[in-house]
Amino acid sequence: MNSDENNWIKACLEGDTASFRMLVNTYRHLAYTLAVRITKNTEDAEEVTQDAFLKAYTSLAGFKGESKFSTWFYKIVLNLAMSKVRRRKPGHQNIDELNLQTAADSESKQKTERTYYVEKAIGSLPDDEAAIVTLYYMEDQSLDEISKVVELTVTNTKVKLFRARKKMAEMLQRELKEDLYSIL
Amino acid sequence: MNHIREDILMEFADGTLMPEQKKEAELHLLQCNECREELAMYKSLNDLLTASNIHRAPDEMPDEVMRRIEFHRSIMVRKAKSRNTLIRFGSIMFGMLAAIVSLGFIFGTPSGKDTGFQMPAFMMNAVSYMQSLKLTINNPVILYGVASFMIIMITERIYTGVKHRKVTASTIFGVKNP
Ligand SMILES: [Zn+2]
Repeated sequence: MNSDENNWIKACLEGDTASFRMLVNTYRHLAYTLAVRITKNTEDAEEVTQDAFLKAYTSLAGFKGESKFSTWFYKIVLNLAMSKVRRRKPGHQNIDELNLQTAADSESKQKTERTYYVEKAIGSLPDDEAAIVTLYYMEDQSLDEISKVVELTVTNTKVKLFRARKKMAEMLQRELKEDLYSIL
Repeated sequence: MNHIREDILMEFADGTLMPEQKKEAELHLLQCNECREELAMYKSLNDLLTASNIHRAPDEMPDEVMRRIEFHRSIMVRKAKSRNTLIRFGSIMFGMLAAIVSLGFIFGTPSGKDTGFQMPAFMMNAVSYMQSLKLTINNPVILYGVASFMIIMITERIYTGVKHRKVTASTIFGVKNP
């Protein structure tokens, strides 16, 4: 684990709340992305991410540094996101094109299209596969760490990752064979 | 001719193949259009996922999280304060009770004749137990005075210990925490 992070955590435990902000700044986008992929809804994802930070703050003393902070924290995010999905009333709103458009407003049209296809492909995966794929493409996440977050063996994680990538590839191939070459 | 396994193709696209496996795969790719197309697909998928992987969390999120943390802390502080008040009240009550019992020991007699206070059964039992120990201090006034003083001291120690969430033999009997 990086030493900045260690210092922030230590300072937090000694009562310096402000250093927790550094952790929030470091992890908010990644945590939010993971939450979006599971809840498939930006509003829920925002709530889940905030709750996850609060939970991390209150249980920081329980973080023993046996794993990376990110692994420990993503597990909190994932659990909260999963329970959010489970508690959801039927007929909720899934992520829509509008949401994605606004998220990518300032970026190029090409980027927006890419985001759209990625979200569509990931959105078609079951929750655990969506989580594994998301974590796999985040920086610094080894298969070993991912397996700890999703609480599976490394072998099972690998199998699920393989399955997820295959499904996504097939889906993209089917749906946007011509489009894909124009946006890449 | 066997095609390249899909997991090998994925690793090829990731660039994580061992040099030897890589060489073998490259040889096949040179002569197989099908596998080349599949590899291109996995490469595109990687590009897609890494390029547009991150969703940006709202800019106000850190402020919002910190606001919620401060709120949480203020509730915790308030809870701790009311717990302390309860502990203080409890120890004062315990101390007073201990003082009353001690006074009973000091001034009470089994008959109540001399002092006007008749000892209840448990006090008389305690007195006869003390006497059965044949302690060298025979004067009950001194003996019970010392006992009551100790009870009050222990109460004070427990109070200090609980307040600092540390009740150990040393906080009760030993020196105060620095
Ligand atoms: Zn082939």
